[in-house]
Amino acid sequence: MISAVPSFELAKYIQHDTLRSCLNRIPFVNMIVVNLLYRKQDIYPKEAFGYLIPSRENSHLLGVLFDTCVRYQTDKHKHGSQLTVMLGGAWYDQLRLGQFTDEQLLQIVSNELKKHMNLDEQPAVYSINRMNKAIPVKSNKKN
Amino acid sequence: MKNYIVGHEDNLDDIYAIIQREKLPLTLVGNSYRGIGVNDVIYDSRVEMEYLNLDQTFQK
Repeated sequence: MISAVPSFELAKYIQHDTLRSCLNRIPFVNMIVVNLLYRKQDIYPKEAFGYLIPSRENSHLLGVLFDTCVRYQTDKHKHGSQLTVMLGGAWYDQLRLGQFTDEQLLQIVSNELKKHMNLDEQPAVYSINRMNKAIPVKSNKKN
Repeated sequence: MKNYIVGHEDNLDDIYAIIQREKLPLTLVGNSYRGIGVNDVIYDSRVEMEYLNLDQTFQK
């Protein structure tokens, strides 16, 4: 049998007690991924893959991807600019991201993008995906 | 960058020790074990499949 499901899902089907508790010992954290499409071309401060934000910046965002730059070959004929913003991870609980509505999340993201890359545009289209137990990582309990 | 918790390797050793001892026909892939990123997962799955040596069954 080849298992490609997350360890905590596999654990549900394991009868061996020790193996099950080992699999359950791998912790996962929640993530929120926001995709944004802007009508404006070239909203990017630099042609790049995107950027990561160090935790000492106390930003709500983990990182931002410049999708249009990454896919400039395949997206040549498309207009506008696309961003992927990631929030949460180890900071999900501390930032209480679970309690925000879509509108509030979009507001947080807009504010941060304004701060980081001076982006004043409103997105033409956006989608917000809440991914529970998305990645295996320790949950950060910073004092 | 994203990483596993301290002690993850020991936990993996325990998991594989049990799989070997109990002779479980179990192969583990996905981002829970040896790398979180997409590239890690693809590489790891390939390594695991080569280890299983399923060439005859999945010949292109």
